[in-house]
Formats: sequence, C-alpha cells, structure tokens
Amino acid sequence: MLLVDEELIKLSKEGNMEAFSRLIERYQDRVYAIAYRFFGNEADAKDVAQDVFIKVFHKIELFRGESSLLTWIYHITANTCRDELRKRQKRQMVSIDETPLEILHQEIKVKNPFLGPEEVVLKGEAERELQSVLNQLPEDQKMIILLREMQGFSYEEIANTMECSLGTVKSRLNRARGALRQLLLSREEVTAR
Amino acid sequence: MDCREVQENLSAYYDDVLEVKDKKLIEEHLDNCSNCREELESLKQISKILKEAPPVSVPDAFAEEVIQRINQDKIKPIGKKTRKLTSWQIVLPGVAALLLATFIGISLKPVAMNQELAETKMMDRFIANDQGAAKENLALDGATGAGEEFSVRGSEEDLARQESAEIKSKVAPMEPNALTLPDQEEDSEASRKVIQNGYLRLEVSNLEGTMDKIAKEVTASGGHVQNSSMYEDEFNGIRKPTRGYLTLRVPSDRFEKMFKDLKGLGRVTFQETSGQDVTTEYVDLEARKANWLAQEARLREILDSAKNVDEILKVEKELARVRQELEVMEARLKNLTNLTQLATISIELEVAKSREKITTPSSLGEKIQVAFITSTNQMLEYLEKGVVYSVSFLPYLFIIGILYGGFKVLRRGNKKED
Repeated sequence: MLLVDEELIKLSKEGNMEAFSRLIERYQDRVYAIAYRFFGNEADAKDVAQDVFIKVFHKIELFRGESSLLTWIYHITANTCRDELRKRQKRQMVSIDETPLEILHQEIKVKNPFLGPEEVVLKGEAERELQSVLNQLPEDQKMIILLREMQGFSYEEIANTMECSLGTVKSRLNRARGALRQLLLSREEVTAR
Repeated sequence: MDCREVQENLSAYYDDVLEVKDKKLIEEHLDNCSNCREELESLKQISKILKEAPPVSVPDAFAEEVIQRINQDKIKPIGKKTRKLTSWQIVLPGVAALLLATFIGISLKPVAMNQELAETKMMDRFIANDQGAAKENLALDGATGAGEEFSVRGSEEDLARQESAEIKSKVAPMEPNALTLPDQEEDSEASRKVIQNGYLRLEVSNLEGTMDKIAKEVTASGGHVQNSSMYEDEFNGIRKPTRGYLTLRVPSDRFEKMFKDLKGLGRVTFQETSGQDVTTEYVDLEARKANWLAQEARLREILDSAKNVDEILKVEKELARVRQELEVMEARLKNLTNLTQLATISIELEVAKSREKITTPSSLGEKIQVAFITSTNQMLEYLEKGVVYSVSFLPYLFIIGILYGGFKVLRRGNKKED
C-alpha cells in the first residue's frame, strides 16, 4: 500500500483517480503556498492551484520522469501563475495591488533582531508589508523569490522550473532581492514620516 | 572588486553558490566596505522574513474539488446527451433513480406527463449529489439488474442504458481501476497504522504488589514498562505508598486483552481508549523517503561520473543535503512505527481509601461486581455498535420503503380497477 510517486504517476496515467488524488494531496500545500504568495489572496490561490493540478492531470502522459515530479509540478505552477496574471492584466479586471489582503493573523517573530535600517519595517506589520511588497515585484522576480526563499529551491531547480540558465537565475535573484530591499526601505521612509 | 561588482554577486554569495576565488574576493571587499556589509545584512534579513512567513494551508476538500473538475471536463467532449454526467460511477445511481421514479410514475398514472419531467430532474439531482459514493453505487448496480422487471417505459430506460453503456466504453481505461478501488480500501484496513492509547485509573488494595504484577504481565506479553513511579503519603504517622503511575508499552495486537486484564486488577474509576489513524502520514513519509532515496542514487551516479573536483564538491554538497532529509524522514518513520507497533497504556493507581474495601476480586461478591461491570461495558459497546449498524442501514430501508409503498399503492390501484 505504500506507493511512491512513480507508481502513483503510473496509475494516474491509467486514469486511476484515487492515485491522482493522492498525488494532489502530496503536493497541494506547496503549490497552494506559491499561488497564495503570488496572488496574495485565498480565492485566487485556490483557483490557480486547482488549475495547476488539472493541467498536471492532462499532461501527466508527457511526464517521463526526467526531472523530479516536484520540479515538474512547480514548473507548471510557475507558468500557470504567470499566464493567469497576464490574462488579468490584459483584461485589467483586477489590479494586483488592490487585491484584498485577508491574511496574516500572525506577526513575524524576529528572533534575533539585527540593528539595521530595516528594523522598523521588519517588526510591526511585517507580514502584511511583505505580501504587498511582493505584489509590487515583477512576476518573474516574484516567482524567483518564492521559489528560492519560501520553497528553498536550489539554483538548478529554479533554472529547471523557470526554464532559464543558471546565470539568469543568479542575476534575476540578485535583482529581485535588490528590488525587494528597495521596496521595503521606501516603505520604511513612508512610515517614518 | 568594486562595490558594483560585489553587489551584483551578493545574492549568489549569500546563497553560497559562488566559486571559491570569487567568494574570497567578496569577503575581502566586505571586510573594508560597510555599505556592502549592510546590504548583505538586509539580504539576510529579507530572507529571514520570507522564510518565517506563516505557512498557508490549503482549503479543505481541495483534492476532491480538483478531481470533480477533471471529471466534469472529461465528460464534456464525449456526447451531447451526457453532458451533465461526470463519471460512469454516478450513472448507476442515476439509472437506479430512474427506475425508482419510473416505478412511482406507474403507480401515479394520471400524472404521468408531469412525472416524466420530474424524473429527469431527479436524475440530474442524483447525479449532482452522489459523487464519490462508490460502494453504494456498486450496491445499486445490483439493484439495477433486479429492477429490470419493472421496465415499463422501455424507451426511456433504453436511453439511460445507452448512455451508461456509452460512457462505460468511452472511459473504458479507467474502469478497471475504479472498480478495484473499494477492494483496495478493504485491503488497506489490514495495513492501517493506528496509534492506540489507553488510560486507566484503578483503585487497588496493595499498591506495590499490583505494580509488580503489572510489570510482570507486561513483560510476559512482549511489552515493557516505559515509566514507573510511586508516591508516598503520610498516613497516621506512617509513610506509605499511596499512588503509583505506570506507562506501559504493549504490542498493538495485545492492547485490548491487556487493557481488559488490567481492569481486573482493581476498581476502575476512569478509563479511556483512543486510536489515531496515521496511515496517510505514514504512506506519505514512505513515499517521500523513496523519492529521496532515488535522488540519492542518482546523485551517486553523477558523483561517479564527475569530472573535476568542483563537480565532486557540488554533488557531495547536494548529497549531504539529501542525506539530511533522509535522516529526518527515517527518524519520523521510526517514531511512527514505534508508536503504532506498541500501544501505550497509562495507568494511575490509587490505594483504596477505606481499608475494608478490598478491591482485588477475591470474594464472590467482588467477582460478581467485576463481572457485572465488565458485562455492562460490553453491553454498552454492543449497543453502540447496534446503533451504528442500524443507522448505516437507513439508506437501504429508505429504498425498500419506497418500493414497498409503491407496491401497496399499485395494489390498491389494481383493486379499484377490479
């Protein structure tokens, strides 16, 4: 009864929904977490995460096990998030900045507060700040931050997931972190005033 | 390196993916440049905020909803007639519902025209509601066969059969799996991983004697005493042991017998047993472990074919990470296995307050008392099971009731016509 991913994938390819359901349960938290941070609200996160698994189901025939299933699913997640965002921007229905933030009941614990310039920002409503700052990042930068910082991906994994070179990962991550820092700093200035 | 160059590589430096010489250059620069140091600190800080962001949890029934959506999508392109059907499984109750409705329809001949409309609606509703009740569907499958003799409206039923046949053929590759699922579930009953816990509070006459006895019995049953403590109280100027606590670990299959035996050792003042099913967690851990093992094997292959020191170092670093993950997983698995293989029984022993009241069943009266308590408990257990079973029969009763009611109405109708 102990099924590893490979067996679940095989069964899923044969159309066994129970097996596929197990696969979903195994990866749903991670996919949902990305979608949630990407869109910043539960409803969108749920829709997109479900879309991801529907795509996974339809494409599972094509999955040959060259990469790990996790990377493959993340790849689909990253693409789905990006496509959905572009669709929205085209329709100009929802501006991401205005998306309600119904989140974050917990405050971030800064266990070892470093006396840097960001300190003020870091305490306080850091979590809410964080999400709205994330929302201001360009999609590629946002995704790379999510993958690296929140999912703990290695550079190689990110390169596979986002289909780019290691060099691109390196420079994009550097830019994303820089942008994030700038956004946090400018917020601090606003709050300080 | 100047500040610009350093800052371009700072993020990679922070992630420790730079080559040794670049790393050194950056470190040298950092020693002398407070600006860049500050920048590095904020990198760390941001990383920390992001990592410590509270985890979000997926909404309930997420997987089910996905499966539902997939099933809906799957049926859509199949046929114009069957657009609303989401899976072959739910056609069966649909057919059964149709039969039932047909039956009711016959018994209410005068309103047959309206009935027809109602039937289709009813069918739709069945289809919408009855997803996932695979077992029931299979039961209803039998009912469909039995219901054939009632087929008065041939045309409509034919249509339904056609529909179900059509769907069965289109979704053919799925069918065998879907059919075996209930069996699989039953199989897994045997390999369920359940953590069993029992708690017992007993009043005994001889504390030390009872504790020794328990320890012996546990050892004899293949378990062990995990924890044992005794407390003394002053009693009329004499210090005497009055309370004892024991934590026992017994093999899970002996848990029930052991618990029962223990209850016979004194007067039971409190008892509780609980079971926590950790099968899913266990299965998940096993699977993840297998994945990591596969990755480890792959990394070893890569290591064998590595061409230079740099590559070897990189792979080894990755290997170390994988090993670490594996160790964590193995530890958790071991812990789970231990918890499921050995049930835990906590016992609190108290010396009976009144001296006269000897609670170890030795006299006839106490034996009767103990027997009475045991049988009462058993009776309660049976009662509980009885209630559960009768409730589980309700759906069948409902259908039988409708059929019976239908028969009666039909008979009365026939009599009137006579």
